[in-house]
Amino acid sequence: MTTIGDTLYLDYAACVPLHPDVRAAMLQWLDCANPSSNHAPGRAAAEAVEQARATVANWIGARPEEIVCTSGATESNNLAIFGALAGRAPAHIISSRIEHKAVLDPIKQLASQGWRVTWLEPDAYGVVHPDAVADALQTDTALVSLMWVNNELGTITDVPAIGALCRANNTLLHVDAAQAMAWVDVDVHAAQVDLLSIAGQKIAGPKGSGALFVRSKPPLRLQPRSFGGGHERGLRPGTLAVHQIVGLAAAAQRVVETRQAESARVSALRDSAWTQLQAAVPDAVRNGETNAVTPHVLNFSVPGVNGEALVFGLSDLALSTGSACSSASKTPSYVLRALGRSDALAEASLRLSFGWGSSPEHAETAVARIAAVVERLRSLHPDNTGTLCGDAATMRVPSEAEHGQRFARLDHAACAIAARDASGLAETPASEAQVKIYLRQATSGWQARFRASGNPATLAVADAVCESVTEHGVEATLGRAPAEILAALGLDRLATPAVLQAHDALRNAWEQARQLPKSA
Amino acid sequence: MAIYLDNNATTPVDAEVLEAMLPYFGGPYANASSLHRYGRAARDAVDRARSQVAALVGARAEQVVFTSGGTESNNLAIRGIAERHATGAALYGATEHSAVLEPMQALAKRGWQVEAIPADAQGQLDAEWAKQRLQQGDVRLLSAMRANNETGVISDVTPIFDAARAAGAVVHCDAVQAAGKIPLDVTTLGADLVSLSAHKIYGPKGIGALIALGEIDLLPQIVGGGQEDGLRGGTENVAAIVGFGAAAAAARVQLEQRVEHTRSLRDQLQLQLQAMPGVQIFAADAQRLPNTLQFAMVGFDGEALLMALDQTAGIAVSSGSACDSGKGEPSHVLLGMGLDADTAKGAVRVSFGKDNTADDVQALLAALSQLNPATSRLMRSVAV
Repeated sequence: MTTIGDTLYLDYAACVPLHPDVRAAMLQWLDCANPSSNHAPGRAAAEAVEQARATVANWIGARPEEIVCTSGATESNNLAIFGALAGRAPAHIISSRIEHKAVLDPIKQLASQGWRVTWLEPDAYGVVHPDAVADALQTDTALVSLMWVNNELGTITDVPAIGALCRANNTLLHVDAAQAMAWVDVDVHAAQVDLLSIAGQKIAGPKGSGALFVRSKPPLRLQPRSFGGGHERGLRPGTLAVHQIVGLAAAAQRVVETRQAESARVSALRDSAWTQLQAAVPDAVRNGETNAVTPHVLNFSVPGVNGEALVFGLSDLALSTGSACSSASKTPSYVLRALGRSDALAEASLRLSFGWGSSPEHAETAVARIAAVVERLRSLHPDNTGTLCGDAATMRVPSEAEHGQRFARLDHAACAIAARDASGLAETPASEAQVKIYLRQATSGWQARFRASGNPATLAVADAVCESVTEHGVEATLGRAPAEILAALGLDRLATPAVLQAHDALRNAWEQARQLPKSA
Repeated sequence: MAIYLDNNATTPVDAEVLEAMLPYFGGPYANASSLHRYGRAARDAVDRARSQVAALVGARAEQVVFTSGGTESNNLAIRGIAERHATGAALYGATEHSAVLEPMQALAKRGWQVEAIPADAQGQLDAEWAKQRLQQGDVRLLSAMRANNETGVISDVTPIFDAARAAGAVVHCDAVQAAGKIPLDVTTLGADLVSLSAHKIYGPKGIGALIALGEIDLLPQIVGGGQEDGLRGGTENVAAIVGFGAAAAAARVQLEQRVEHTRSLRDQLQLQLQAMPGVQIFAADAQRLPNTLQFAMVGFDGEALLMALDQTAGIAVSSGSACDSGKGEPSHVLLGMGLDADTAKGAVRVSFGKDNTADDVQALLAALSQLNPATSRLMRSVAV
């Protein structure tokens, strides 16, 4: 795959880039009739859908009529969990603390409606054991929902063992297999799974494609979540997105044909990356190291460095600090905390994940880069490894006497940055300093927040500029002389580039902000 | 090659749309929630498309919630409002699409009092009836479509919407067929929630939007991940969203041109059909979508007629809603307009697209005349 600039893509667990073969299959069906239409082009589209459905079914040992096409694993999980339990009197559910948000959130919603939930804890390697399920099962346990492979760690759950336990207890088993499908041999009937969620984008298929396997024998009565038109046997209405479904099937077929060879290749690549990293950063801690792990994930924590500074320093590597879906929230990974990692260690963790486009050179470059940044951060004064993130409301410019406090951790919840804020970035590659300023229009005027990494002056100036925006407005702040800002902070004229950089970031954000539609 | 006259069921994907989508099919674009450069590039693309979709209907970008299509949008609106209440009353237009009708029926099963606003023979909703019903004060939700998928009738919904909001109801408008075919401005429509779909405006299937205006307390129907401001969980379908944006942008620019082009084809067809004996055009006197014409030929079953057109002439039309096709039931839309079941079962819908030509109209007329020998002589005299 192509890259953006020099940024290396190491985030296959978040999203596997669409494979060219899959893309070719999709493009054949992007422009087609409505498969519900009763004319020749409509029937041809319907035929393509049914062939694709058969391919997906065959892949997981299911029957075509057991496959419901959805818009992705999140929808599949919602349909499975809510659909299986809708209309039932609240009883008991078993899940785990390391599920994806797309399972956690629906179950939390049910918990708020009176369902009792046992949240299983993983062991120190991040594995949820069948024994834990056996202990938690109650006579009225209606549903067990567990993931086949954890998205942050790559650890594999013993689903067949859990399937047997659930069947014996007359309990439905839902498995979120989004992360498993590229690497694990899944046979739903052998594993006695009742409901299984699949995502196209985790197997080099299209985003916005997915499926839910729904056991047909004995029939499982699922309540639909939406209505209108009766598509997918009434379980999932809406015009079928033919190219998406065809893409899902093409990706599935690719997995069938290449999984064995890819598993060997990618696990060798992953193991070699870990060996190299251990050599460079001997105290790095591997998360989720066990035999039952997929080939594609390498998750580790680096003690003694600030997590955000680490990630900020690695902006030329596309990797995750946890699930991408939760990374914007900036709370330390709940999966790693569930493994017993401290908040600090959980924050200073990186997930590298590999796939069809990864080469040994990619892994080698990434490890060398990570090692270099760790070394640089550690060479700084320990207090200086922080990245500040704040705004004028939650943070004061520290005085010289408070120097040690300047890099104290801030309450990240207080400086959550909304995706739709205007933002401007200014980078100085030589000093590796970065300032990003976010602007939001409040009733009282523009509010600025920032995220920055660099030397103390960079951080202090960014904060002062943000504060000035709140007090004087954007234009006035841009008009202030660097000397004035530096004097107010008690900083030397040598720090002038820091002001210019903050001004650049603000100007970029301002440019973007002025293009935003007027908000109410 | 088949002649495609079923553009209300789905439209071909426009070349411009495909071109806009291609870079996101396998390019370096990742999960739009990822914070790294690939994720941000995807996020930027999604936000650009959000503005394009918003601009088509006069909304603001932050009012756009992307969904997997019109059906999901309708369900999110109706169930998302209804599930905030234990029970209540809900009104809907008698001619709604099944993606509104069926969520309403599901509410009825849960104890809601669900009532259809009657339609007249031209497909217009009875505003007086609606206003009187709203006065009872228990209506929490009202849903009516701007333009009908089968007859093409454009409903004058704004007075009903205004009355509904004044009565404290949340108003939803299914504008899937209207957007891109007639001017649509959500700031004056009067609805709180508006459903849109990409594949009716030359965009890809599997993507749609719900425009949420004002402070509407909507219960998300797909949770997990917090995407779309928490209203719709799931990794964004970046390529499809980009395609939707491109389709919306083109629809906005080309609206007038498309209206005129399809209207001229439709009017040509209508003129010649009207000259044929035994042809009944539905809602002929109503304000209709410029591209849509629904009619019946005496003695012909609609499904049979469309099969014949398909098999003998390679012409794709429909009998009504694609979503209801093959069910053998007369259209609830036509029954709702007071037609008898036999007439309704004769319905054939022709919906033109921007790429259809006058030759397509003539091919359809020729095929119809062959199927209907009794009228072919008359037809020829008109067609020349």
